[in-house]
Amino acid sequence: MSENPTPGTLSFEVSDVTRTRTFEATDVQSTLPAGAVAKSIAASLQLPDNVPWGLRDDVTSRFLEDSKPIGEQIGPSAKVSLTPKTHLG
Amino acid sequence: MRQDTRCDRKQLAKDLEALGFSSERGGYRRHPSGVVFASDGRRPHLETPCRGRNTDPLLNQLGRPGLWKAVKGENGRILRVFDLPLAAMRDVDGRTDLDIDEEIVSPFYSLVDWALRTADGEAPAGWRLPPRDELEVLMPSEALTVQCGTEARQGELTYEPSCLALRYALARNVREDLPRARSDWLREVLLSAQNYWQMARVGFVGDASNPSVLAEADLTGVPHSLLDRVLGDALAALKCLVQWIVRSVAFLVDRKSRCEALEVCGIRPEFTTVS
Repeated sequence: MSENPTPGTLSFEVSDVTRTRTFEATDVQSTLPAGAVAKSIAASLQLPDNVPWGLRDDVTSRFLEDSKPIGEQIGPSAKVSLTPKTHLG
Repeated sequence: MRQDTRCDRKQLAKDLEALGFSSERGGYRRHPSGVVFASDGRRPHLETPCRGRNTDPLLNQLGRPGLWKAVKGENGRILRVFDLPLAAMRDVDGRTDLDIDEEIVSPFYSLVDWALRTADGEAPAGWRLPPRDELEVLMPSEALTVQCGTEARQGELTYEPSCLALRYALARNVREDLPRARSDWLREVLLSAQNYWQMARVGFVGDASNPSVLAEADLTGVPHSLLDRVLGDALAALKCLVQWIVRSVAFLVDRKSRCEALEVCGIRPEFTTVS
């Protein structure tokens, strides 16, 4: 985890939904909406951009709200998964 | 409703004369400051030469009131320009005049007056911030998000008594030991964006050994009656600038990325001043 985070940013661990890839997202602007962060992470992982990606908190299993700032929903050292927001049935 | 361009030119000339400009071959000039009004049809603006040694268009520009910014002119000289937002000059309601403090003035007059009153780097005397809730209606937080591939940035509003500005952090804490080729390319990318996009400016801020790169549109001194249109233009221009260069900037400052072409195709940075 980043030892000296830039003020106004946060770092957290991200996995893809299969957990085959895990990396640390560093210096993410805390005021960014979680939805925009999800899209950027998906692009970093070269995942298709026509999928509605969301970030899911690994502790609560809840999706972060796309429109709310990510810094209001998770703290430093959080672990999230990049998950497609698809519903079965 | 189509406006009579003859009337527009007449009104423009009348407004400029009222603001102390005199007609000269090729445009209008205001003495003794030397501020020139110029228009190539698409980008009406005010300009004035930069004076002083070693004026760097990317340093000491951010945070200054108004839309003034340093750009490289056609002959290589550094100029300070203030782009006049076109949308604010067109009155979509068919009105051509604004009632400001019981004085009827045109939007064009108000914009040029704003530029003149911020030309010396100070906020206009007596100017007050517009109400914050009005800004939040005009500019909800979702309107400030720029998401561009792997990069995303959230704009921030600076709302202080002598500063009203929109800002984006393009890169934070750029390392001092960034290789020379990357540093030169970074400057070139920023300078080209500064020259190309109206109303928005970029530059380095903070510790010289560890600066951050910001993009901003400063609206300090904006006429309240034109706030919605100026804000709309400024935000659009700023977001375009950010989208244009954010990925390039992120790549250039990321020491983990490798690209030998940057060294092969080196950039020789240069800027000239009018002493």
